[in-house]
Amino acid sequence: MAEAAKKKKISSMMPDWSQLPEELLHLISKNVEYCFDVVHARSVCRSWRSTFLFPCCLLRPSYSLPAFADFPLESKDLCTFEKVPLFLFRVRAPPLAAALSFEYFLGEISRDESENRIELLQCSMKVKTRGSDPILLNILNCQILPLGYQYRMIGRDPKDWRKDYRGMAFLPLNKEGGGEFVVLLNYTKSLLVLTVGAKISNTLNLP
Amino acid sequence: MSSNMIMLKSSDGASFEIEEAAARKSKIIANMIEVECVDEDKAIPLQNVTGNILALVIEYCNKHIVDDDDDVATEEASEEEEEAKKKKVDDWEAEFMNSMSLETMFELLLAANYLNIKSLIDLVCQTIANNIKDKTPEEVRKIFSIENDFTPEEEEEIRKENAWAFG
Repeated sequence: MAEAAKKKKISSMMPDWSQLPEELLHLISKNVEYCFDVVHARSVCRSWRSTFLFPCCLLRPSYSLPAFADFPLESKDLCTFEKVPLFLFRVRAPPLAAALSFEYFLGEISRDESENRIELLQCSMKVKTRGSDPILLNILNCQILPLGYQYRMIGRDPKDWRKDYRGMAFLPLNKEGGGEFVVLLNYTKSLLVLTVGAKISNTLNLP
Repeated sequence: MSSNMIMLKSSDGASFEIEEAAARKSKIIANMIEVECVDEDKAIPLQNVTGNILALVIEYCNKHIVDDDDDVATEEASEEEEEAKKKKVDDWEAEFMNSMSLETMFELLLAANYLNIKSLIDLVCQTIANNIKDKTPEEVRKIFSIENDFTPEEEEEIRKENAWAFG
């Protein structure tokens, strides 16, 4: 009986997927894992765009932190703390014509802001590799794996930076990775702990 | 194991007999049984589910009630046995979904939602999500017969948002 039902078409009418209750579409969206599948799904229609949330692994948040002119003195200046997502990139099937012998590349993905953008095809990505001109590749032919984040501090005195700064760690304070976080700075022999919420709420230093 | 049978009636008038234990996979039906509003001689009318979809739902419930019972009966089953059993269920589910068109999945998802069968909702959602993998927005629209309802301005904005560069 069930076998017959499977083969039998419900009706000749295609279902109207826009009539699918939002909570069900939301459940479907949660099962789409790969960030660029989500990006493409967001480009399908309006209701999908509002249900499929922009993948957070492609976001590049930056925060303002106090700069330290001469530790432990706090300067009024701010420096920028940037969270840069890194990706491992591989072309699944390199085009025969291109003499690309590359296998894996580590790099950043960002918006192509260049003015003279070539009329972009859907699902394409401009790929710049060392020593070659940027080329356009179809994202669907690439493997792009999120590799976590690199944290950068911008706008500090580089001399001071090199001498005293030893390393940095980032601890999100909630599971989603948004909202509050802690920056740990190994600064000469002190460990500097910056707790950052909507705005900087606390600066501690541990001996 | 309860061998009570209950009757379900689809929106198009088809009747199905199902073991109570299998029907309890649906939270809605389980609730009806709890509050004893199920008359043994009368079929439960399901207004929102057609016969061919209900047949699929029942096939799924029957399959999974057997598995649940096995779990109870063989509590000391070894890890390997557990794994083999899980694989069997996974294979069955893959086969079950594989034979289905997207239209059927759409109806089945609505039915599973109406009957509140969580594991079936999850299975169908996962399968639909797999149909979105590695597709361009245009291909997805075609497969799902979705109309592109963006204005030219919105399209331009999306194009800009999707201009990615790697380096």
